[in-house]
Amino acid sequence: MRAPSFNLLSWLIAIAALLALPWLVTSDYYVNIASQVVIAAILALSLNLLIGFGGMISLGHAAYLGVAAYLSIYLTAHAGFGHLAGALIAIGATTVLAMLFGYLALRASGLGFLMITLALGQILWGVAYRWASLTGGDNGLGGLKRPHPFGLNLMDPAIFYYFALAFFGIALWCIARFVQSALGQSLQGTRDQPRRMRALGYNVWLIQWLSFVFAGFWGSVAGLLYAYYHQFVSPQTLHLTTSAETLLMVIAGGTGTLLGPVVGAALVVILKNVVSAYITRWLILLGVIFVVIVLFMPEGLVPGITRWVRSLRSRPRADKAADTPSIAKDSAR
Amino acid sequence: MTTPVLEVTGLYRFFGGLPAVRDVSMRIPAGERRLLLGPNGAGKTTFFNLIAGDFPPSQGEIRIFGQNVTRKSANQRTHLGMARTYQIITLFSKNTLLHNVVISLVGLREIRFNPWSDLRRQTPLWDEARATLALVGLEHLADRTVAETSYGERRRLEIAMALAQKPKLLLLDEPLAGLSADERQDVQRLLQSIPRDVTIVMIEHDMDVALAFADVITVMQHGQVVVEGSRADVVADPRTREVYLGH
Amino acid sequence: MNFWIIQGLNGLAFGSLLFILASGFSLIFGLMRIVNLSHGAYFMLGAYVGLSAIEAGVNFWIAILIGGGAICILGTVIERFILRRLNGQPLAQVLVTLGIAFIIADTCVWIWTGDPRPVPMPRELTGAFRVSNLAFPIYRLFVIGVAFALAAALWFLLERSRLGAMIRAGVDDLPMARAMGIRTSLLFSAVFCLGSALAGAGGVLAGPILSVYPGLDSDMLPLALVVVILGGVGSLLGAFVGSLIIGFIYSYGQALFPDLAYVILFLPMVLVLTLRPTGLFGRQAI
Ligand SMILES: Nc1ncnc2c1ncn2[C@@H]1O[C@H](COP(=O)(O)OP(=O)(O)OP(=O)(O)O)[C@@H](O)[C@H]1O
Ligand SMILES: [Mg+2]
Repeated sequence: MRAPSFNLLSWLIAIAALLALPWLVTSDYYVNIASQVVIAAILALSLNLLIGFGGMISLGHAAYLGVAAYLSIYLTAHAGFGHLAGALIAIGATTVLAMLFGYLALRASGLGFLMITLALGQILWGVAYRWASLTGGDNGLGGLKRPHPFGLNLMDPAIFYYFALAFFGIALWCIARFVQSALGQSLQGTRDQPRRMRALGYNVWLIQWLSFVFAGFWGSVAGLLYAYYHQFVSPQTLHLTTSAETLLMVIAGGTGTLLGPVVGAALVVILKNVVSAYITRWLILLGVIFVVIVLFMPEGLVPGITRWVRSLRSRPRADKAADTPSIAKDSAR
Repeated sequence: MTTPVLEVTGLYRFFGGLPAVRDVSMRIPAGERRLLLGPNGAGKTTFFNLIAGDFPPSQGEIRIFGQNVTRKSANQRTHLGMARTYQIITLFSKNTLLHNVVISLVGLREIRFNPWSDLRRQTPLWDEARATLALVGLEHLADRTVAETSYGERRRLEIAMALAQKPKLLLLDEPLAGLSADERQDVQRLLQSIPRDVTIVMIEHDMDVALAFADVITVMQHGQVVVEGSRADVVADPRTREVYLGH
Repeated sequence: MNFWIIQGLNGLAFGSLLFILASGFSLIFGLMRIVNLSHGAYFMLGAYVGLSAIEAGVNFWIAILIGGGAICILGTVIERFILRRLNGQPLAQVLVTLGIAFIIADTCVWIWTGDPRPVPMPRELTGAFRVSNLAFPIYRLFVIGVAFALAAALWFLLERSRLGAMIRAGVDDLPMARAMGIRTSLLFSAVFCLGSALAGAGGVLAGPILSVYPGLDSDMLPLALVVVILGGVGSLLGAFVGSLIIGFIYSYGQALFPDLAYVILFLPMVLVLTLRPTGLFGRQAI
């Protein structure tokens, strides 16, 4: 699978738009939503490594978001650690957790993998709920003050947005490099032809495990930003619904493309914020979206709509629609 | 006596109680061209899968280059210098032919664990892949995706992916199946041109083609070896006729 | 000593409830390769429906039938009209059942509000069973009895009946079963209906012990998954043993280290997945 090949100009426009956003939207409310989108996008990018590039459908990706958030808040606000130490330990420990969970989940494949990730994630949710002395139980854990790295006042919504955007940029860059690297290309090979990959000398299990850990790492970075943004975390963050929302971002934007999950994250976060302003039944809507996407747009919202638009535009040459040499040619070298 | 490249002793494999491979033993010395013959369902592909390490044997031992690999994984065996093709084409169909061969090259190199440098920039790899494609006469299609190629071209790509790894032991599972007469000739010539220090085990149904190629022939039926010997011996053996006419 | 016996019985009772839920989940997964993520929601909805029936003046035993029946109908409709359309797309089926689980869960909050609701016990089973200085609620003993009876009945159904022979053939090798002329579509409906009914009835039965609350589904679903991971795919014995193991671990864990009761659940998963990825009684890896 290839990322759509953007030329330099469209990249520059996109970057300029992202940087100018706090001036374009004047209200703090919208800047904050932009911050949420950026954080969600990091999480969705990392999940897409597993789903889109690895073919491993995880329903427990909220684990890394939630655990990193819990750990960073607990360490800095309740255990007396400094911000930097708290952040590093939180990310490190969550990555170690991803190593363990990856090992367990990769004992199976396909539906078994999905079941194990879901079970592990939900057990963590139960832990957060019941280990109240540590996690605050249902009330959640708060008390975190946003740090002041390099003298930046992260309480200012625009500055926080840039802070999160910087992390997003680094995440996108690293993940883009990973996808084009030998390891990332091998991961896509294991998705398409695991048996052939083994015969070619690849340790399929190791490739999948390394990718799982890499995805867990970026999930934990998202979790750290989540903690800074909300200054609060509750069991809901670890719940299956969070994993499902992230999965929705990935499949809505189209799996296996680099930027699809970013679009998906924007769609889901904005939709959730808009809907929540009018009704309280977000979960029903989430469920309905899942059912509708699966039944009517199995390839994802964005690719589905794109294909639909493209087929409208190229109707005069409809016979060529199935042929895709133009995308096919540019990628190899 | 030199160690054989492939040595198999007392190999069994059961699928749900039914033996697909039954007590097969075989010694193949370096440089030999060995042909596996046998009717459909004789267990030839299963035998290849056991050697390649797709699944473990129910019983028996496999040695490659003198090393016991019975408990080794498929990827470890490949790193010893073995490569294979598949009877049922197993390629990365959304990728270009060039990309397929590069993936094959990367499988044996340390770079496969590199999560950072852009694979597209590894020019020597792509040049080598192009050269390999030229070897099988597919250079002009290098930038097509597999999905856009013909069946015969895919068969040749299967071989190219195996050859790219410069194996010392090459397992070919019906490399000529489904090819036109012209394509057959091309592939045959290609196989003939493989240097003699490569040991080749080939499964093939087409007697004429196969006989011209092989030094030693093994005939299998019902998972067992029925006849084994030189071309002349096997052709003359009445059991060979029985296997083929009885089928 | 008393502590161990009482908690052991509690674990047995909880494991029994879990078995009623997990046996259906496991059968559905084993036969149809559908990971029914709605199963926890079925359990909760069944409990709510049963509760409403009781509050409307219906007898407890009839309420179990109503709860089980309602979920059975719901499950059958979902299987017929949604899951069947996605035949051969296991991933799409999982996502649909996940979506349906969310819809059911949120609808329950809508109708029955967010407060936990105890389900009244049938009058004939209130009170405790006493041996010397030990007292144990009769209702829990009854639940244990129901689970064992169910296990026996399911065993009989699977091992001794024609339907069971067809189900076993389907679990072992679906294409082969189809080739032998088994009408798998009917079989699928029957198994899905049975599994749904068990989940719904199990929810009502669990009501007096666990009560009903939003989140009951999220509590039960992962436990059912863990049971199947432990016990092995499509194995009735596995579901039974797995349920009891989790029941005991959960019950003793909650009594001994209430904070860590959930953390301990990782333990059997780590052990089984490391040492025996097929599950204790499974023949194929999940
Ligand atoms: N993975 C498997 N599971 C179950 N049975 C299998 C499997 N692979 C092969 N078999 C069975 O083992 C027997 C031997 O099959 P195999 O593919 O090795 O035969 P073959 O000699 O390669 O035949 P052909 O000439 O048709 O390729 C067949 O009866 C086949 O059905
Ligand atoms: Mg074969």
